[in-house]
Amino acid sequence: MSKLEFMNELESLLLDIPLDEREEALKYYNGYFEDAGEDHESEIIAELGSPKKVADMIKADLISNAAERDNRGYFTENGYKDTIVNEEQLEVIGAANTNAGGSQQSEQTAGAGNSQTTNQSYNNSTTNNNTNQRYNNSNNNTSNNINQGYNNPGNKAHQDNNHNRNTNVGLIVLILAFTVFLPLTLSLIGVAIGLVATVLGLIFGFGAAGIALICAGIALFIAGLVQMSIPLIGLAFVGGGLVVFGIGMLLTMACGALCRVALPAMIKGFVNLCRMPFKDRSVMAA
Amino acid sequence: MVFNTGSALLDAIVLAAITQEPEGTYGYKITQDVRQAIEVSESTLYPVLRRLQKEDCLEVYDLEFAGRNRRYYRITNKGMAQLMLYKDEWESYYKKINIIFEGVK
Repeated sequence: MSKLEFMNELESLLLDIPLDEREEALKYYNGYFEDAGEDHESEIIAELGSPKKVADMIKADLISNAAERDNRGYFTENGYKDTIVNEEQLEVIGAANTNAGGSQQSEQTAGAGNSQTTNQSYNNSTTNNNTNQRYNNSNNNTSNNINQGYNNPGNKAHQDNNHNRNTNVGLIVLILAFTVFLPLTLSLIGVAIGLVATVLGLIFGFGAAGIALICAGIALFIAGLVQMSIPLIGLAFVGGGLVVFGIGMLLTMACGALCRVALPAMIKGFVNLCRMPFKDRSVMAA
Repeated sequence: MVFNTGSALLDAIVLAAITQEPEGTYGYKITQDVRQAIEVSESTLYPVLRRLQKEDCLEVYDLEFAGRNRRYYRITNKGMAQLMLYKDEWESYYKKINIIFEGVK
C-alpha cells in the first residue's frame, strides 16, 4: 500500500465525521508522511497499521468522554492496548529493551532540562503579579477538575455497570414477557372470548327459540279456534298450540335463568381477567 | 514497558515533549520524542494532540517549511498550568512508590 492509497482509504473511512475534523486529521497525516520523508513511507504505513485502525482511533476520541478514555487505553508489556481497536496491537518490545539503558539516561537529562524550564516559568510568573495570580487561579481550577476526574471515573464506571445490570434484567423480563407471558395471556383472552360467545349464543338461541315457539303456539291456538267448525282439527290445533306455547315459555324461562346466572358470572370473570396482568406487574415490580 | 500508562500520563508526556521546543513543534517530531520515553503506536498521538488542542492546552499555527505548510503545536498558558499539575502529581506519586520500594528512611 502506498501513501496515496493509505490517505485515500483513510479519507473515505472518515467521511462520516465532521468536515473540519476530517480535514484536520488528513492534514496531520499528510504532514506526518512528508516529515518522515519518502524513504520511511513504508515504515510509517506498517507502523500506523491499517487506515481503519487510524480512523477508528480518531473517531473513538471524537465520541468518547474523559471518563471512558481513562478506562480505555493502556500500555502493557506487549505495547499499547486499546479496547476500541479490536485487533491486538503487539508492538516490538525488543527495540524498547535494547533502548532501555539509553533511554533512562536520556530521561534523566530530559528531566533535568524540564525542571529548568519549570523553574524558569515559575520565575517568569512570579515577576508578574497578574500572571502569577492567573496561574494560581487556573492551577486551582485544574486541580479541582483533576481531582474530580480522579474520583469520578471509578464511581461513574461503577454506576454504569449497575445501570447495565439493571437494564439487562429489564431486558430479560421484557423478553420473557414477549415470548412467554404475551402468547399465554393472548390465548387465555382468546379462550375467554370464545366462552363468552358460546354462552351469549346459547342465551340468544334459547331466547329466540322460546319467543318463536310462544308466537307459534299462540298462532296455532288462534288457528285452532278458527277451525272449531271442524271440532277435531280445531281441538288438535288448540292443543298443539298450547303445547308449543308451553315449550316456548320453558325455553324463555331457561333463557332468563341463564341471563341471571351466567351474565353476572361472566362479567365478574372478565373483570378478574382484566385485573390479572396488573396484579402480575405489581408482583414483578416488587 | 511493564507498567500501564493512563491517558493522564500520556497527556503529560505529550505536553512535556512539546514544551521542549519553545517555538512549538510538529506531529512527527512529537511522536518521535514521545516514543523515546514510552512505547506508543503512531496512531495514538493524533487524537491526543487534537483533544489537547480543543481543550486549549495547545495552540496550532502553520509555518512554511520546504515549500509546504507545516502545522506546529505550541503549549498555551492553560496547557502549562496543566503540565505543572501533572508534574506535581507525578512527583508525589513516584516518591510515595519509591518509599515503599526502598523502605522508609
